[in-house]
Amino acid sequence: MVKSMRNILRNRRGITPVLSSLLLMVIAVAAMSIAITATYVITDNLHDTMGERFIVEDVWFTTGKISIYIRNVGKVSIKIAAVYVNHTSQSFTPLKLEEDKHGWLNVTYSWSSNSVYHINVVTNGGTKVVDYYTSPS
Amino acid sequence: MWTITRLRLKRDRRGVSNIIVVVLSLVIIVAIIANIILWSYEMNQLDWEKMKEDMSITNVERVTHSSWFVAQSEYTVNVGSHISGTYTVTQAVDGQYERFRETLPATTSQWEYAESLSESSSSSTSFAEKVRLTFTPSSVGDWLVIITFQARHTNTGDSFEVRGQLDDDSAKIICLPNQEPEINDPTREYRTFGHFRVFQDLSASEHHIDVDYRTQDFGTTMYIKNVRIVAIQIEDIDNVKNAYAEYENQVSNPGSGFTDYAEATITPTDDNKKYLVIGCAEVQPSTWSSYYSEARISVDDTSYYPEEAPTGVYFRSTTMDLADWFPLMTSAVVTLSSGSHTVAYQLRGASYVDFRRIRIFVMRLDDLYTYEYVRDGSETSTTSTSWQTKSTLSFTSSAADYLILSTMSGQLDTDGSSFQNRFTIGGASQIDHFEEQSDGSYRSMQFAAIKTLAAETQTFKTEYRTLSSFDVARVKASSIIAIKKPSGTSDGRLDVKGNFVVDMSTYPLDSIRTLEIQLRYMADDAGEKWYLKAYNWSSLTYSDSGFNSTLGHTPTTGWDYYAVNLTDEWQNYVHDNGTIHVKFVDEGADSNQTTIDIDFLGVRAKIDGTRFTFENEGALTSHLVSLWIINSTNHQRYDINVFVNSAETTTYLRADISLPEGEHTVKVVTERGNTAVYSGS
Repeated sequence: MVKSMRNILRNRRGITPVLSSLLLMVIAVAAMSIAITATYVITDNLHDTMGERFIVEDVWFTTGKISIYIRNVGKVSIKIAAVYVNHTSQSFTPLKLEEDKHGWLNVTYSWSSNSVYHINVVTNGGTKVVDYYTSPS
Repeated sequence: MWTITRLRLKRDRRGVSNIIVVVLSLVIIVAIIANIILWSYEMNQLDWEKMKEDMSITNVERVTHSSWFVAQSEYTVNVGSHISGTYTVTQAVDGQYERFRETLPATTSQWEYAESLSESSSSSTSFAEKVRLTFTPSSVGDWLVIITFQARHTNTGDSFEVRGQLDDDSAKIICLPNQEPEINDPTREYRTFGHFRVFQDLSASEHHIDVDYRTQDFGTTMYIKNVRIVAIQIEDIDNVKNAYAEYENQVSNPGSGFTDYAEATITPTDDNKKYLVIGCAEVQPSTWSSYYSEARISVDDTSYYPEEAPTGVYFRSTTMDLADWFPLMTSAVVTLSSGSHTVAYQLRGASYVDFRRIRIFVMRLDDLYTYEYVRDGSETSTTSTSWQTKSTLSFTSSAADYLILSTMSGQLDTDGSSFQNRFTIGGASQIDHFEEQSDGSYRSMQFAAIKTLAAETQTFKTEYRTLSSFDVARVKASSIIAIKKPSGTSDGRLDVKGNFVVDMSTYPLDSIRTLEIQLRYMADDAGEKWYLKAYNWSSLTYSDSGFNSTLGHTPTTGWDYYAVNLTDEWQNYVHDNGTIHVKFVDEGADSNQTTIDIDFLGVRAKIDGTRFTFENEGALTSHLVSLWIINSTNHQRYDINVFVNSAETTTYLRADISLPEGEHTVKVVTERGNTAVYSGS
């Protein structure tokens, strides 16, 4: 046994090919992992972007705010990223809705009665619902 | 070929790596594209389905009441009787009805009673008065009179005679038995006797009933004790709720087969009601030869009620004195169906047997009287000289007068020896039939009395024993009947209860404003009011407290509607599970037996709700998930869960949604994200 080990240590010509093969293998695995991760990230983002659907069930003009009732009818959760009233971004209470969930999105806005407002609700995924709404008289 | 390729690959390793890289890249690209395409397809399908959806609201209307909740099980008749129909015909106003009838009106509850329990004797051949019952009927009416007593004579071969009669009138004799004892111990023999008669149209003036006694043989002594006279005013004989027949003339040679001599026809209007039947006769021999005679109660000749009527109650008299008349009497409780029945006292006997004063009386017990009874027709025996119980009637009495009837037939297997039968109340002997057996036949013990009982547990017993353990005493046909004197408050009554269940899933309790009960009925007399009541789950009683009307409803004898509103007290009358018990009762006791036909009885909730009509004109089934009621001041949203099939219209009732006054908008949102709008005002 001791004799065999001595022979291997004495014969150094076989080590280089082995090491190079191992190195190549590690590189290949790493490259594949990066490629698969990149694939997952790409498809997941596409997935989220394509799966977003939501509707505005109701818009209620109350004093100093516009309440927008949103229902998530898509296949993924949504998070409201921005609300534009007449193309101007407005502050609002954060709202995240899972699949089939619904809730009020309260937008702080001093509206005028009997006026038409262009309201654009945008999600993180870039999906938007845009419509005109008339405030009560 | 394979060898050449292998050698080339070995020589050119860079080419292999390139191929692997290209293939892997293609795989990744294909995966990404496939994922995008599939997902795109799925979302496109969602969008396509949304586009194909076409939902609309065609109508929105206020709803002020629920549909009628009707009986889903048969009504319970607490008082009165069910005549015809089932609860199903009361579920709609359609002229089909379920019929109920009140209990029979109260019998006039005048009961009279006299007794003389002490022993009296007479050596005179003239009648002496033992006891007199004097009474004045409150009105002209029919009376049932029953007389029972014990009598004996000191000498064999000599006779005593006891006479019961009304108003000293020889045409109104109730009983006139005479007997010649045949015993060796005249100081101990004491037979019991009983007889009855019904007097119709007795005037409302003073009357008296006497029980008189005498010896029939000069210089001899007879004894009498435990004499009881019962007089009960009964409903006029109408052959519906009671019937009576008597055959006072002498019948000779009755024949060897049972024959009806006193025969009453009764035609009950109700099914399966209990009736008291009493029969009696006096029998005598017409020769010195031994003879036999038997009597029994029969119903419809051969159609007996074995569990009720004594089919084999059996008397045999072997008195050897040609002048003796021996009384026979028995009573039973029978069940009669509706329709005509013949109830008779049947007789048979040897050709040299005579009968007279043959009577049969039938009187309805159910719905008229509170009663208890026990009967044991089987034969039992004992050689014990201690008292043995044949029948026991145990019940809890009210504090009231009770008519108590008891009979039992006894016999000993040895001529010349004696047996005893008796009837006890709470262990105290009331009558003690002592007889020396002379011919192996059965003799009956008779007891009838009116007793004032306390409200407590009562134990009535028929008992028997032999006087010698060498002799076997037998008894059979034992019966005890206790009938409570009517109080007059529970007669001519009807009390019908139905169960109704309000659909709590559609009409939750918090959406109900109040409840309504509606009845469509017809009464055949307008002499009393009728009331709707409901079970109050708080006070645990039936009540109409809090109803909008507690005055009842007076019928017109045509079809009438009677409705009550439970106002703001309604919650006390509804169980959490929606159950409401409704009672329909009469005003109280009266003289009419009213028949009630119920065409409809139902309960409904008064609500302030809304009914929506949705129409799906699309090609796909729509799932409605959200409902909005919007007006100028409020935007109210409700979760809903309604599926509407393609090309169908659906109504959707919400008891908890109240439409606002003035202009309003109703929106419904589908699961796919489409919205339908309806504007109303």
